[in-house]
Amino acid sequence: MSAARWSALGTYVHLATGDPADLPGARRIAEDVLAEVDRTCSRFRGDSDLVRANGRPGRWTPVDPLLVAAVRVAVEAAAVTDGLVDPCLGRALVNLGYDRDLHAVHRRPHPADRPPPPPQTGCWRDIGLDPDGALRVPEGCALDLGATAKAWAADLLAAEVVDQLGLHVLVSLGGDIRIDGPDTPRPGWTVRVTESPDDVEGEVVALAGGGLATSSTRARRWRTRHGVAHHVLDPRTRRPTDEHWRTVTATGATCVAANVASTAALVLGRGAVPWLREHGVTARLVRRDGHLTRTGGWPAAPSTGRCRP
Amino acid sequence: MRYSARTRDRYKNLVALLTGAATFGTVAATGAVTGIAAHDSALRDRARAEADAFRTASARAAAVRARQRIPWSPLVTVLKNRPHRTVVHTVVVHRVSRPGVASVGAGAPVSAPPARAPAPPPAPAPAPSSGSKP
Repeated sequence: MSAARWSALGTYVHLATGDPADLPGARRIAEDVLAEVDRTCSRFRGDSDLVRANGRPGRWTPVDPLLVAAVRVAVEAAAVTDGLVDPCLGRALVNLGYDRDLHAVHRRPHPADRPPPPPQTGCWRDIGLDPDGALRVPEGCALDLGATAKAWAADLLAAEVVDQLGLHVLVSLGGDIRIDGPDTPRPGWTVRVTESPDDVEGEVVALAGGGLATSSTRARRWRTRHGVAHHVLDPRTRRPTDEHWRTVTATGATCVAANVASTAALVLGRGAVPWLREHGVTARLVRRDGHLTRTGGWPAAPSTGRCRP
Repeated sequence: MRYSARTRDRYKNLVALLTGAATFGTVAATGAVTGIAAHDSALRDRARAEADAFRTASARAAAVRARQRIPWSPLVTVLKNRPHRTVVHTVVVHRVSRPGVASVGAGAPVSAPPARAPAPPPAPAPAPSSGSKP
Protein backbone atom coordinates (compact mmCIF):
# COMPACT_ATOMS: atom_id res chain seq x y z
CA MET A 1 0.00 0.00 0.00
CA SER A 2 1.17 3.52 -0.65
CA ALA A 3 -0.50 6.82 0.02
CA ALA A 4 0.01 10.49 -0.74
CA ARG A 5 -1.35 13.51 1.10
CA TRP A 6 -1.65 17.11 0.01
CA SER A 7 -4.11 20.00 0.17
CA ALA A 8 -6.87 20.93 -2.26
CA LEU A 9 -10.42 22.34 -2.16
CA GLY A 10 -9.64 23.92 1.19
CA THR A 11 -9.01 20.59 2.88
CA TYR A 12 -6.67 17.62 2.74
CA VAL A 13 -6.45 14.93 0.07
CA HIS A 14 -5.51 11.38 1.02
CA LEU A 15 -4.92 9.10 -1.95
CA ALA A 16 -3.97 5.45 -1.58
CA THR A 17 -3.23 2.73 -4.12
CA GLY A 18 -2.32 -0.91 -3.61
CA ASP A 19 0.95 -0.74 -5.54
CA PRO A 20 3.39 2.11 -4.80
CA ALA A 21 4.32 2.23 -8.48
CA ASP A 22 0.76 3.30 -9.31
CA LEU A 23 0.68 6.23 -6.95
CA PRO A 24 2.39 8.94 -9.08
CA GLY A 25 0.06 8.37 -12.00
CA ALA A 26 -2.98 8.30 -9.77
CA ARG A 27 -1.87 11.49 -8.09
CA ARG A 28 -1.46 13.28 -11.41
CA ILE A 29 -5.01 12.38 -12.35
CA ALA A 30 -6.24 13.42 -8.92
CA GLU A 31 -4.57 16.81 -9.11
CA ASP A 32 -6.05 17.46 -12.55
CA VAL A 33 -9.55 16.51 -11.45
CA LEU A 34 -9.40 18.57 -8.27
CA ALA A 35 -8.06 21.59 -10.14
CA GLU A 36 -11.02 21.40 -12.51
CA VAL A 37 -13.52 21.01 -9.68
CA ASP A 38 -11.98 23.96 -7.85
CA ARG A 39 -11.96 26.11 -11.00
CA THR A 40 -15.63 25.48 -11.65
CA CYS A 41 -17.29 24.84 -8.28
CA SER A 42 -15.48 27.03 -5.75
CA ARG A 43 -17.50 29.69 -3.95
CA PHE A 44 -14.31 31.49 -2.96
CA ARG A 45 -12.59 31.96 -6.31
CA GLY A 46 -13.60 35.10 -8.13
CA ASP A 47 -12.94 33.43 -11.48
CA SER A 48 -14.94 30.27 -10.83
CA ASP A 49 -17.99 29.39 -12.88
CA LEU A 50 -20.08 29.12 -9.72
CA VAL A 51 -19.23 32.67 -8.65
CA ARG A 52 -20.17 33.95 -12.10
CA ALA A 53 -23.49 32.12 -12.02
CA ASN A 54 -24.22 33.30 -8.46
CA GLY A 55 -23.60 36.85 -9.63
CA ARG A 56 -26.43 36.57 -12.18
CA PRO A 57 -29.40 35.20 -10.24
CA GLY A 58 -32.50 34.68 -12.32
CA ARG A 59 -30.57 34.58 -15.59
CA TRP A 60 -28.90 31.82 -17.56
CA THR A 61 -25.12 31.86 -17.37
CA PRO A 62 -22.84 29.86 -19.65
CA VAL A 63 -20.71 27.63 -17.43
CA ASP A 64 -18.53 24.57 -17.71
CA PRO A 65 -20.58 21.38 -18.04
CA LEU A 66 -18.60 20.08 -15.09
CA LEU A 67 -20.35 22.60 -12.84
CA VAL A 68 -23.70 21.64 -14.32
CA ALA A 69 -22.99 18.03 -13.38
CA ALA A 70 -22.01 19.04 -9.85
CA VAL A 71 -25.16 21.13 -9.40
CA ARG A 72 -27.31 18.32 -10.81
CA VAL A 73 -25.99 16.04 -8.08
CA ALA A 74 -26.68 18.73 -5.47
CA VAL A 75 -30.26 19.09 -6.72
CA GLU A 76 -30.72 15.34 -6.53
CA ALA A 77 -29.41 15.40 -2.96
CA ALA A 78 -32.04 18.01 -2.12
CA ALA A 79 -34.72 15.93 -3.78
CA VAL A 80 -33.92 12.67 -1.99
CA THR A 81 -33.81 14.45 1.40
CA ASP A 82 -36.83 16.64 0.74
CA GLY A 83 -34.66 19.73 1.07
CA LEU A 84 -32.66 18.78 4.17
CA VAL A 85 -29.48 19.02 2.09
CA ASP A 86 -30.02 22.25 0.23
CA PRO A 87 -27.61 23.83 -2.28
CA CYS A 88 -29.33 27.22 -1.97
CA LEU A 89 -27.68 28.25 1.30
CA GLY A 90 -24.95 30.42 -0.19
CA ARG A 91 -26.45 33.71 0.96
CA ALA A 92 -27.10 32.41 4.45
CA LEU A 93 -23.46 31.32 4.78
CA VAL A 94 -22.24 34.68 3.49
CA ASN A 95 -24.46 36.50 5.96
CA LEU A 96 -23.00 34.36 8.72
CA GLY A 97 -19.56 35.61 7.70
CA TYR A 98 -18.43 32.50 5.82
CA ASP A 99 -17.85 34.42 2.60
CA ARG A 100 -14.26 33.40 1.91
CA ASP A 101 -11.81 30.62 2.58
CA LEU A 102 -12.06 29.65 6.24
CA HIS A 103 -8.42 30.58 6.95
CA ALA A 104 -9.21 34.09 5.74
CA VAL A 105 -12.37 34.15 7.88
CA HIS A 106 -10.28 33.24 10.92
CA ARG A 107 -7.83 36.05 10.17
CA ARG A 108 -10.55 38.69 10.41
CA PRO A 109 -10.08 40.98 13.41
CA HIS A 110 -13.84 41.27 13.94
CA PRO A 111 -16.83 39.09 13.08
CA ALA A 112 -18.51 40.01 9.81
CA ASP A 113 -21.88 38.33 10.17
CA ARG A 114 -25.17 40.01 9.26
CA PRO A 115 -28.79 39.04 9.92
CA PRO A 116 -29.78 35.92 7.99
CA PRO A 117 -31.76 36.29 4.76
CA PRO A 118 -35.46 35.54 4.97
CA PRO A 119 -36.32 31.83 4.82
CA GLN A 120 -36.74 30.66 1.25
CA THR A 121 -37.18 26.91 1.30
CA GLY A 122 -37.49 24.88 -1.83
CA CYS A 123 -35.79 27.29 -4.22
CA TRP A 124 -33.52 24.41 -5.30
CA ARG A 125 -36.48 23.27 -7.41
CA ASP A 126 -36.07 26.42 -9.53
CA ILE A 127 -32.43 25.83 -10.42
CA GLY A 128 -32.05 25.73 -14.20
CA LEU A 129 -29.64 23.19 -15.69
CA ASP A 130 -28.47 22.88 -19.28
CA PRO A 131 -26.13 19.90 -19.64
CA ASP A 132 -24.46 21.56 -22.62
CA GLY A 133 -23.11 24.22 -20.28
CA ALA A 134 -25.52 26.74 -18.78
CA LEU A 135 -26.88 27.31 -15.30
CA ARG A 136 -29.64 29.51 -13.87
CA VAL A 137 -29.43 30.33 -10.17
CA PRO A 138 -32.89 31.18 -8.80
CA GLU A 139 -33.68 34.81 -8.07
CA GLY A 140 -32.69 35.78 -4.52
CA CYS A 141 -30.46 32.72 -4.08
CA ALA A 142 -26.79 31.86 -4.18
CA LEU A 143 -25.60 28.31 -4.56
CA ASP A 144 -23.17 26.65 -2.17
CA LEU A 145 -22.09 23.14 -3.07
CA GLY A 146 -20.27 22.48 0.19
CA ALA A 147 -22.67 19.70 1.15
CA THR A 148 -22.03 17.63 -1.97
CA ALA A 149 -19.17 18.92 -4.13
CA LYS A 150 -16.33 17.52 -2.05
CA ALA A 151 -17.92 14.07 -1.93
CA TRP A 152 -18.76 14.27 -5.62
CA ALA A 153 -15.15 15.20 -6.35
CA ALA A 154 -14.05 12.10 -4.43
CA ASP A 155 -16.36 9.94 -6.56
CA LEU A 156 -15.16 11.67 -9.72
CA LEU A 157 -11.51 11.37 -8.83
CA ALA A 158 -11.73 7.69 -7.94
CA ALA A 159 -13.73 6.89 -11.08
CA GLU A 160 -11.20 8.73 -13.23
CA VAL A 161 -8.29 6.77 -11.73
CA VAL A 162 -10.14 3.49 -12.25
CA ASP A 163 -11.11 4.49 -15.78
CA GLN A 164 -7.62 5.52 -16.84
CA LEU A 165 -5.39 3.20 -14.84
CA GLY A 166 -7.63 0.30 -13.88
CA LEU A 167 -6.50 0.44 -10.25
CA HIS A 168 -8.02 -0.04 -6.87
CA VAL A 169 -7.97 3.31 -5.19
CA LEU A 170 -9.04 4.98 -1.97
CA VAL A 171 -9.46 8.73 -1.87
CA SER A 172 -10.40 10.88 1.07
CA LEU A 173 -11.22 14.56 0.66
CA GLY A 174 -11.46 15.98 4.14
CA GLY A 175 -13.07 12.80 5.44
CA ASP A 176 -15.29 12.08 2.44
CA ILE A 177 -14.01 8.70 1.29
CA ARG A 178 -14.55 6.79 -1.92
CA ILE A 179 -13.19 3.33 -2.57
CA ASP A 180 -13.33 2.17 -6.16
CA GLY A 181 -11.70 -0.40 -8.38
CA PRO A 182 -12.23 -2.83 -11.22
CA ASP A 183 -13.39 -5.41 -8.69
CA THR A 184 -13.90 -5.48 -4.98
CA PRO A 185 -10.78 -6.21 -2.98
CA ARG A 186 -10.99 -8.51 0.04
CA PRO A 187 -10.92 -7.98 2.92
CA GLY A 188 -11.11 -4.36 1.89
CA TRP A 189 -9.58 -1.19 3.20
CA THR A 190 -9.28 -0.25 6.83
CA VAL A 191 -10.46 3.20 7.68
CA ARG A 192 -10.04 5.02 10.96
CA VAL A 193 -12.99 7.22 11.79
CA THR A 194 -12.13 10.17 13.97
CA GLU A 195 -13.64 13.54 14.76
CA SER A 196 -10.57 15.69 14.46
CA PRO A 197 -7.13 15.35 12.89
CA ASP A 198 -5.39 15.04 16.23
CA ASP A 199 -7.78 12.40 17.51
CA VAL A 200 -5.66 9.29 18.01
CA GLU A 201 -8.48 7.15 19.32
CA GLY A 202 -11.22 6.95 16.74
CA GLU A 203 -12.62 3.69 15.51
CA VAL A 204 -11.17 1.41 12.85
CA VAL A 205 -13.50 -0.34 10.42
CA ALA A 206 -13.06 -2.30 7.21
CA LEU A 207 -14.81 -1.26 4.02
CA ALA A 208 -14.65 -3.08 0.70
CA GLY A 209 -15.94 -0.32 -1.56
CA GLY A 210 -18.37 2.54 -2.03
CA GLY A 211 -18.51 5.69 0.02
CA LEU A 212 -17.97 6.62 3.64
CA ALA A 213 -18.45 10.21 4.73
CA THR A 214 -18.15 12.05 8.00
CA SER A 215 -19.91 15.33 8.69
CA SER A 216 -19.09 17.18 11.85
CA THR A 217 -20.00 20.45 13.48
CA ARG A 218 -16.63 20.40 15.25
CA ALA A 219 -14.84 21.37 12.07
CA ARG A 220 -15.19 24.60 10.08
CA ARG A 221 -16.18 26.87 12.91
CA TRP A 222 -15.73 30.63 13.19
CA ARG A 223 -16.66 33.55 15.39
CA THR A 224 -19.77 35.63 14.86
CA ARG A 225 -21.28 38.50 16.85
CA HIS A 226 -23.58 36.00 18.50
CA GLY A 227 -21.09 33.27 19.30
CA VAL A 228 -19.36 30.50 17.38
CA ALA A 229 -20.98 29.29 14.17
CA HIS A 230 -20.38 26.11 12.19
CA HIS A 231 -20.88 25.32 8.54
CA VAL A 232 -23.78 22.82 8.67
CA LEU A 233 -26.92 24.91 8.26
CA ASP A 234 -30.51 23.87 8.74
CA PRO A 235 -32.30 24.98 5.54
CA ARG A 236 -35.50 25.48 7.53
CA THR A 237 -33.95 28.16 9.75
CA ARG A 238 -30.90 29.12 7.69
CA ARG A 239 -28.93 28.96 10.93
CA PRO A 240 -26.33 26.42 12.08
CA THR A 241 -27.89 23.18 13.29
CA ASP A 242 -28.47 22.80 17.01
CA GLU A 243 -25.67 20.22 17.36
CA HIS A 244 -27.74 17.45 18.90
CA TRP A 245 -25.20 15.30 17.05
CA ARG A 246 -21.72 16.68 16.72
CA THR A 247 -20.45 14.08 14.24
CA VAL A 248 -22.16 11.60 11.94
CA THR A 249 -20.37 9.03 9.76
CA ALA A 250 -22.45 7.21 7.15
CA THR A 251 -21.94 4.79 4.30
CA GLY A 252 -23.43 4.78 0.82
CA ALA A 253 -23.08 3.32 -2.61
CA THR A 254 -21.20 6.48 -3.52
CA CYS A 255 -19.43 9.10 -1.46
CA VAL A 256 -22.16 11.59 -2.37
CA ALA A 257 -24.82 9.24 -1.03
CA ALA A 258 -22.86 8.76 2.18
CA ASN A 259 -22.33 12.49 2.62
CA VAL A 260 -25.98 13.27 1.93
CA ALA A 261 -26.97 10.84 4.69
CA SER A 262 -24.48 12.20 7.22
CA THR A 263 -25.43 15.82 6.51
CA ALA A 264 -29.15 15.11 6.65
CA ALA A 265 -28.65 13.37 10.00
CA LEU A 266 -26.93 16.45 11.45
CA VAL A 267 -29.78 18.65 10.23
CA LEU A 268 -32.47 16.32 11.57
CA GLY A 269 -31.00 16.21 15.06
CA ARG A 270 -33.17 14.03 17.29
CA GLY A 271 -35.02 12.67 14.29
CA ALA A 272 -31.89 11.39 12.60
CA VAL A 273 -31.83 7.80 13.83
CA PRO A 274 -35.33 6.87 12.60
CA TRP A 275 -34.60 8.58 9.29
CA LEU A 276 -31.33 6.70 8.83
CA ARG A 277 -32.98 3.39 9.71
CA GLU A 278 -35.89 4.09 7.40
CA HIS A 279 -33.45 4.66 4.55
CA GLY A 280 -31.30 1.63 5.42
CA VAL A 281 -28.20 3.68 6.16
CA THR A 282 -25.32 2.22 8.11
CA ALA A 283 -24.06 5.04 10.30
CA ARG A 284 -22.24 6.03 13.44
CA LEU A 285 -23.48 9.06 15.33
CA VAL A 286 -21.69 10.94 18.09
CA ARG A 287 -23.98 12.94 20.34
CA ARG A 288 -22.94 16.29 21.77
CA ASP A 289 -21.92 14.62 25.04
CA GLY A 290 -19.89 11.93 23.25
CA HIS A 291 -22.47 9.13 23.43
CA LEU A 292 -22.31 6.79 20.42
CA THR A 293 -25.26 5.47 18.43
CA ARG A 294 -25.00 3.04 15.51
CA THR A 295 -27.47 2.21 12.79
CA GLY A 296 -27.66 -0.50 10.16
CA GLY A 297 -24.64 -2.76 9.94
CA TRP A 298 -22.15 -0.54 11.72
CA PRO A 299 -20.04 -2.89 13.87
CA ALA A 300 -20.10 -2.49 17.60
CA ALA A 301 -16.87 -1.08 18.94
CA PRO A 302 -15.09 -3.60 21.14
CA SER A 303 -13.91 -1.11 23.69
CA THR A 304 -16.23 1.77 24.34
CA GLY A 305 -19.59 3.24 23.56
CA ARG A 306 -18.47 6.80 24.03
CA CYS A 307 -16.18 9.30 22.43
CA ARG A 308 -14.26 11.88 24.31
CA PRO A 309 -16.55 14.75 25.26
CA MET B 1 -70.40 113.45 -79.16
CA ARG B 2 -69.27 114.53 -82.60
CA TYR B 3 -67.12 112.08 -84.30
CA SER B 4 -64.51 114.03 -86.19
CA ALA B 5 -61.25 113.15 -87.71
CA ARG B 6 -59.50 114.61 -84.73
CA THR B 7 -61.68 112.67 -82.40
CA ARG B 8 -61.16 109.64 -84.50
CA ASP B 9 -57.40 110.05 -84.35
CA ARG B 10 -57.50 110.63 -80.69
CA TYR B 11 -59.69 107.60 -80.28
CA LYS B 12 -57.43 105.56 -82.45
CA ASN B 13 -54.43 106.73 -80.51
CA LEU B 14 -56.21 105.99 -77.32
CA VAL B 15 -57.19 102.56 -78.50
CA ALA B 16 -53.69 102.02 -79.76
CA LEU B 17 -52.35 103.13 -76.45
CA LEU B 18 -54.76 100.99 -74.61
CA THR B 19 -54.13 98.10 -76.89
CA GLY B 20 -50.46 98.69 -76.65
CA ALA B 21 -50.74 98.90 -72.97
CA ALA B 22 -52.89 95.89 -72.97
CA THR B 23 -50.51 94.13 -75.27
CA PHE B 24 -47.61 95.14 -73.17
CA GLY B 25 -49.49 94.11 -70.16
CA THR B 26 -50.38 90.87 -71.78
CA VAL B 27 -46.89 90.33 -72.93
CA ALA B 28 -45.62 91.35 -69.60
CA ALA B 29 -48.06 89.11 -67.86
CA THR B 30 -47.39 86.27 -70.20
CA GLY B 31 -43.72 86.79 -69.83
CA ALA B 32 -44.04 86.81 -66.12
CA VAL B 33 -46.12 83.64 -66.14
CA THR B 34 -43.79 82.10 -68.62
CA GLY B 35 -40.87 83.20 -66.48
CA ILE B 36 -42.46 81.77 -63.39
CA ALA B 37 -43.23 78.58 -65.21
CA ALA B 38 -39.71 78.45 -66.51
CA HIS B 39 -38.42 79.14 -63.03
CA ASP B 40 -40.62 76.38 -61.57
CA SER B 41 -39.48 73.99 -64.20
CA ALA B 42 -35.87 74.80 -63.44
CA LEU B 43 -36.53 74.33 -59.80
CA ARG B 44 -38.19 70.99 -60.46
CA ASP B 45 -35.31 69.91 -62.61
CA ARG B 46 -32.87 71.07 -59.99
CA ALA B 47 -34.86 69.46 -57.21
CA ARG B 48 -35.13 66.26 -59.21
CA ALA B 49 -31.43 66.34 -59.86
CA GLU B 50 -30.72 67.05 -56.23
CA ALA B 51 -33.06 64.29 -55.19
CA ASP B 52 -31.42 61.91 -57.61
CA ALA B 53 -28.03 62.94 -56.33
CA PHE B 54 -29.22 62.58 -52.78
CA ARG B 55 -30.62 59.15 -53.47
CA THR B 56 -27.45 58.10 -55.16
CA ALA B 57 -25.35 59.47 -52.34
CA SER B 58 -27.64 57.89 -49.75
CA ALA B 59 -27.50 54.53 -51.43
CA ARG B 60 -23.74 54.78 -51.60
CA ALA B 61 -23.52 55.84 -47.96
CA ALA B 62 -25.91 53.11 -46.91
CA ALA B 63 -23.77 50.56 -48.68
CA VAL B 64 -20.70 51.92 -46.94
CA ARG B 65 -22.50 51.86 -43.59
CA ALA B 66 -23.71 48.34 -44.23
CA ARG B 67 -20.19 47.23 -44.97
CA GLN B 68 -18.96 48.93 -41.82
CA ARG B 69 -21.77 47.39 -39.75
CA ILE B 70 -21.05 43.78 -40.57
CA PRO B 71 -18.55 43.06 -37.80
CA TRP B 72 -20.80 44.20 -34.96
CA SER B 73 -24.34 44.22 -36.29
CA PRO B 74 -26.72 42.19 -34.13
CA LEU B 75 -28.29 40.98 -37.35
CA VAL B 76 -25.12 39.11 -38.19
CA THR B 77 -24.63 35.74 -36.52
CA VAL B 78 -21.35 35.73 -34.68
CA LEU B 79 -20.04 32.41 -33.46
CA LYS B 80 -18.95 32.82 -29.85
CA ASN B 81 -16.80 30.49 -27.86
CA ARG B 82 -18.81 29.38 -24.85
CA PRO B 83 -16.91 28.17 -21.80
CA HIS B 84 -17.54 24.63 -22.88
CA ARG B 85 -14.68 22.68 -21.45
CA THR B 86 -14.79 19.20 -20.06
CA VAL B 87 -11.29 18.38 -19.06
CA VAL B 88 -12.36 15.56 -16.79
CA HIS B 89 -13.13 12.44 -18.75
CA THR B 90 -16.70 12.75 -20.02
CA VAL B 91 -17.56 9.11 -19.41
CA VAL B 92 -16.49 9.45 -15.80
CA VAL B 93 -18.41 12.69 -15.28
CA HIS B 94 -21.56 11.06 -16.60
CA ARG B 95 -21.01 7.98 -14.49
CA VAL B 96 -20.75 9.91 -11.23
CA SER B 97 -23.53 12.32 -12.18
CA ARG B 98 -26.20 9.91 -13.33
CA PRO B 99 -29.46 9.81 -11.38
CA GLY B 100 -29.18 7.83 -8.17
CA VAL B 101 -25.68 8.77 -7.09
CA ALA B 102 -27.10 10.76 -4.19
CA SER B 103 -29.59 8.12 -3.08
CA VAL B 104 -28.86 7.29 0.52
CA GLY B 105 -28.57 3.78 1.91
CA ALA B 106 -27.32 0.55 0.37
CA GLY B 107 -23.65 1.19 1.02
CA ALA B 108 -20.97 -1.47 1.06
CA PRO B 109 -20.83 -3.53 4.24
CA VAL B 110 -18.82 -2.05 7.08
CA SER B 111 -17.10 -4.51 9.34
CA ALA B 112 -14.66 -4.65 12.14
CA PRO B 113 -11.15 -4.84 10.73
CA PRO B 114 -9.42 -8.21 10.53
CA ALA B 115 -7.53 -9.05 13.68
CA ARG B 116 -4.20 -9.18 11.82
CA ALA B 117 -4.74 -6.04 9.83
CA PRO B 118 -1.85 -3.61 10.08
CA ALA B 119 -2.38 -0.43 12.03
CA PRO B 120 -3.95 2.28 9.91
CA PRO B 121 -1.89 5.39 9.25
CA PRO B 122 -2.45 8.49 11.35
CA ALA B 123 -5.44 10.56 10.46
CA PRO B 124 -4.40 13.24 7.99
CA ALA B 125 -5.09 16.74 9.15
CA PRO B 126 -7.51 18.40 9.36
CA ALA B 127 -10.18 15.83 8.65
CA PRO B 128 -12.13 13.42 10.73
CA SER B 129 -11.26 10.25 8.86
CA SER B 130 -8.60 8.62 6.73
CA GLY B 131 -8.00 5.38 4.92
CA SER B 132 -5.38 2.74 4.21
CA LYS B 133 -5.22 -0.59 2.51
CA PRO B 134 -4.38 -3.77 4.43
